[in-house]
Amino acid sequence: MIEILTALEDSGFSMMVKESSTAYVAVLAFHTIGLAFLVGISGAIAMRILGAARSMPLEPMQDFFPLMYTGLLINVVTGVVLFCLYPTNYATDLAFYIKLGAIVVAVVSLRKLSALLFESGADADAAAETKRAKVLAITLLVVWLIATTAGRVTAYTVPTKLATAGAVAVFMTLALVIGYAVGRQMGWIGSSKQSA
Amino acid sequence: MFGLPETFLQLGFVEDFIAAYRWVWPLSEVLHFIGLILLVGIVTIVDLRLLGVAKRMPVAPLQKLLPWALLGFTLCVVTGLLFVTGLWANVKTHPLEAIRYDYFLQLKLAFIGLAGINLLAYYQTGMARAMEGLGAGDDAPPRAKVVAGASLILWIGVVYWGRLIPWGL
Repeated sequence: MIEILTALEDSGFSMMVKESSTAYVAVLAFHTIGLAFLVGISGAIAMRILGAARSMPLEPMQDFFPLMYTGLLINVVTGVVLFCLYPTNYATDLAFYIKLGAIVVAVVSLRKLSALLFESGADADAAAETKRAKVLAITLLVVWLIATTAGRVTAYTVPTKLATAGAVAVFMTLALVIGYAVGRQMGWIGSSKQSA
Repeated sequence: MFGLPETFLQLGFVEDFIAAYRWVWPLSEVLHFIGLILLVGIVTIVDLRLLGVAKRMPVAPLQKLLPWALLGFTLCVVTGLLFVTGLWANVKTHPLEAIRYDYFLQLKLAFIGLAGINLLAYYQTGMARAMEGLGAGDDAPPRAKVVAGASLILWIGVVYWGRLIPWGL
């Protein structure tokens, strides 16, 4: 296995991209743009299900799915290119497998959410009020956070990866608790279905 | 020699914070990404709606998402300021040098400025309020499409140049 990865790492394609810093950084930048489309739009749908912009109808959001899947496609392609550059590094990095696992769970959750909202025959806004929709929305946001964090720390050493994972978990927990308390106080978070 | 901040751009306490805990810089990177995801994701949805995608979406309730985009922008500004003011602690480059010589950073800042002017035009000309009246199926007027198209290109450009900044240092 390691021979194959080493051969890939030394292949003409891999060397070409690595030696052309323009190509390399363009691939990196497109990986971030694809991420913004996929995670940004699906994240907005999840947040809507969990209570943000409550008056916004969900049915029309179906029209943004092609763009989300375009983002996914961009990231699979740029991701494969980036993997080809340093395959031995990625293949031996636990964070990389955590990232891939999180992405698989995210895409499956998004597919299930899409089926529940748009293909169940029921009204999308009513379907969004079900417990199943909320569970899927929370799952989606959590695994996107894991995937983004795991991807971002790839370049760091193991102790820094662990410290950062801990810091992200603590920060997000505090942000949610404080955000919820402040939201309640300010009346931004209503008790039930009032328009936000 | 650099015990005192050379410029207002270089802040000793930010450098010390970054140097003291290994998680400060990568946590800020993660938060910078969360910010850009919120900002670009939501801006893309709103801009594309004005451009004619998902026209069955009424604009007024869609704009209720915009405070979350603003939260994302704020996250990016705060963490971005940490990267600049504490740059020395991470890459041993002075912020002023980065501003002077890193043309990716310059392009990013210029694109943010243009996006800001674009947004100002959108609100100052009363276009934003007029768009509130766009119901399901309504088409946005051409000038609103110009603003939406410019916004989309500029924000994607900001992400593009931003990702390249380390290679311009």
